[in-house]
Amino acid sequence: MEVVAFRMGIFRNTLCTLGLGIIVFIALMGLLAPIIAGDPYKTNMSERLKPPSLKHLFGTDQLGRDVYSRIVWGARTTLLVALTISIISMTVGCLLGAIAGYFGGIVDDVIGRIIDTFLAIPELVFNIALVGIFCVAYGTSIWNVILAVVVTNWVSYARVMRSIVLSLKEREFVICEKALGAGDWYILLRHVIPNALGPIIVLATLNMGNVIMTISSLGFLGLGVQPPTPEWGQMINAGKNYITTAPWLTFFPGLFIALSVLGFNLLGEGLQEVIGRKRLVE
Amino acid sequence: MLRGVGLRKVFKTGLFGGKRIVAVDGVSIEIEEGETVALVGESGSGKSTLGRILLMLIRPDEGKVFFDGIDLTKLRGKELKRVRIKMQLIPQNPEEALDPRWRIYDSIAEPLRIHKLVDKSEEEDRILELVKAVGLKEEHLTRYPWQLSGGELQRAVIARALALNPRFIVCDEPTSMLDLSTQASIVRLLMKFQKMFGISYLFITHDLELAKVVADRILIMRSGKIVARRVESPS
Amino acid sequence: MLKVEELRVHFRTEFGVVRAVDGVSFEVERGEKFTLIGESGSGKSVLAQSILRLLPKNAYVSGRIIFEGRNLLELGEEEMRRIRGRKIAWIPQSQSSLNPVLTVGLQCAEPVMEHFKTDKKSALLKVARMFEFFGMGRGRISDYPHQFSGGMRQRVLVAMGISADPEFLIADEPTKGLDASKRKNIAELFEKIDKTMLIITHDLEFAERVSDRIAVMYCGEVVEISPAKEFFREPLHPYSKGLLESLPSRGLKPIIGFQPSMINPPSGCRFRERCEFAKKICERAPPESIVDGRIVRCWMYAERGWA
Repeated sequence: MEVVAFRMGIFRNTLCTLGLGIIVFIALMGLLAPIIAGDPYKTNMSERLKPPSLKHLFGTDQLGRDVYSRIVWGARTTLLVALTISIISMTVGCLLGAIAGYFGGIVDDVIGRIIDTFLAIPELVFNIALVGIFCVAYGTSIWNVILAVVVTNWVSYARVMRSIVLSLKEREFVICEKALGAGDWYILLRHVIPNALGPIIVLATLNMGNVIMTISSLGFLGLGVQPPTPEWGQMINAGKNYITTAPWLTFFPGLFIALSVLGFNLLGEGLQEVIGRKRLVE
Repeated sequence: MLRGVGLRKVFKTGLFGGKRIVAVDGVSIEIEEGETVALVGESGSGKSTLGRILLMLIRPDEGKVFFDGIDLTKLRGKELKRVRIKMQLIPQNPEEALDPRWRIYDSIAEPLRIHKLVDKSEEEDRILELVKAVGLKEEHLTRYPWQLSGGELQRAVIARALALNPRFIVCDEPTSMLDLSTQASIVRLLMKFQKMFGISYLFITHDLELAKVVADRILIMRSGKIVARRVESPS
Repeated sequence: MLKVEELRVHFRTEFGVVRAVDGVSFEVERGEKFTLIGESGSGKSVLAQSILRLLPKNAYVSGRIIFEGRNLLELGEEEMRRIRGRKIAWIPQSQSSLNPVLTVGLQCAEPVMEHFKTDKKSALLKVARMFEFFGMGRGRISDYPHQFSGGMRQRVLVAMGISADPEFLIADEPTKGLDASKRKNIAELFEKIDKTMLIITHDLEFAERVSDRIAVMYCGEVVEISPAKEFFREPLHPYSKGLLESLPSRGLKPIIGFQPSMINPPSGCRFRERCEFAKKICERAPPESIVDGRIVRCWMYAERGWA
């Protein structure tokens, strides 16, 4: 019943519906790429830099590849990478934040200082440096990007989780659990973390937007997903030399980056409203 | 049965723990089998802290707590968990006392599950029995805390506390958030269980009139110290 | 001075229509302290909020609230704003209604400046005098809310409410969450204030000290209106009796059963399922009877029907 009410809340909220619509649209693009799009790698030197037409919906690039196909396959790359990053940083961040908040003392001091240190470094600059280091150390791989973003991204989860847990552990039901004889880890995993998930889900949704932005930025700087794998940021980078003669090379990837970031932000804002209202009802 | 000797607890707050608040200041307290001791004081007098020290939810800076002659301040982990079966807490705000994401049934069953006292088939019988004893209906069991009123919730909390057949319960202002008529029924319920099972209560309240009705003895607390003790004639 | 007639406040929610106030009439006379007693969920706070039209948008209000010859429910938002604070002041229940970054003196002076169009200095002077009268000391006007204890903050709220010298005061649960001795202080303060007041409370001891007349609300209805002295000596309605007897000092006797749902209240007398005197006739809505000038809504006092 709780779940049903929650679902109804989501669809009654315009922001949520709109954001969810955009995300579902982009996810479907990625999912159905083999069916709805052609080969993103196939070059055709006789059809270079053609403007959008019925044959090539979004035109072709400097190697004669179909931009539409590359955008559709790019959705798959971007979403997969962003999702991997989010899941890893959420798990790591939430666990560390929860431990810091719940146990306090030295554990909290150590984790807290690490969080503070990371917050003091500009994120993107740090990401760029990390990707560089990883590339030198381990060679180019998509995991460089994932790891580099996770290293800075877990911090926001940890910070939020820690502050939620700090307030949760003073709540009477947690104190009652202790009185009942429940162990600390049991309380943390069964009672504290589940009750913190609402705000964390909102954070994760909003954060997905940021992560997509970061991936695209790295791609644009040539540090992200490497060609020929289609990825939106990297496509803008390749297209920037033709921006006056073939603007569709930069316009369409840019549009889809903006659209997906917008989708997640709208959903995040909407969820915040829904969850907030649910609290009020309770 | 339960005895606290020379208990003292100082909380440090403020920047670098510079501000010290003496919450409990050298208190000795004794509670006999089947007795209700009321602890009366205003907010900030340290009465809740004292209650939680006796349950070892807060470790005292100084002093000892004896339960049946065993010094609880020396126990850790598993040993302490075993003692917790015998002592329980009924907190002030029933709306806060149960996990909001859990159904009432699971909340009441939790102590049984934590201590693995009964198996699945017995569990349900035990819970139905508890629920009936506290005056709730079976239909309440499948609900979530926010679907119950304060009085109903406090009954569920009492059922949970009774699940382990405790011998000692700290009732920390169990009715201060409830309505007047609900307060009366909850207090009457607690008194009934005391007669039935011979439980000892530490009944924390700020209401002296209420203390006079429920308690065998009254302790008055002010700024961390017990300043007056008196015996009530049974009413 | 204030006359409430057949007031109904209904909320439309996901679970059905909540009849928070369901056909309430009473009159507060000039100079008296009129107290609405009720338990949580009786609709007493909603009733108070509807007078100043502070209710959320999903509330449907009908009936009449006559203040100085005008129906407040028909006034425009602009006119209503002129009445709030200046003519009818509200003392909120939550102590978080104070702004943490302004001194309490300034917060109390604000309504004074706005309504009397005076400068800050003379407004603050007036507030300082008021603080002294309330036993807080003039100097405290330059303190911030966090420097006050719970009881003191409640006094500040009272001071803020009466600073603009309103004709009518509504106090919403002024003793909620306060200790016995602090409740006594607030009661003393209320005794000092010489104004027409509508007090909302569930605190019977407080009500006994400060009120001239008592109205008891149960499940959205007013079941009894009596002068305070007589009410506490001999309540008429079975619910009033039950309420008083559940006081620790009067026997701590519980009222059986639970409060009914406000979405589907029982037909007839809403208290009948918990009433020890209930009879067949109680399934019909009881009429209002007048006994020695006291109003009670129970078949026991109706001229026909009980016996």
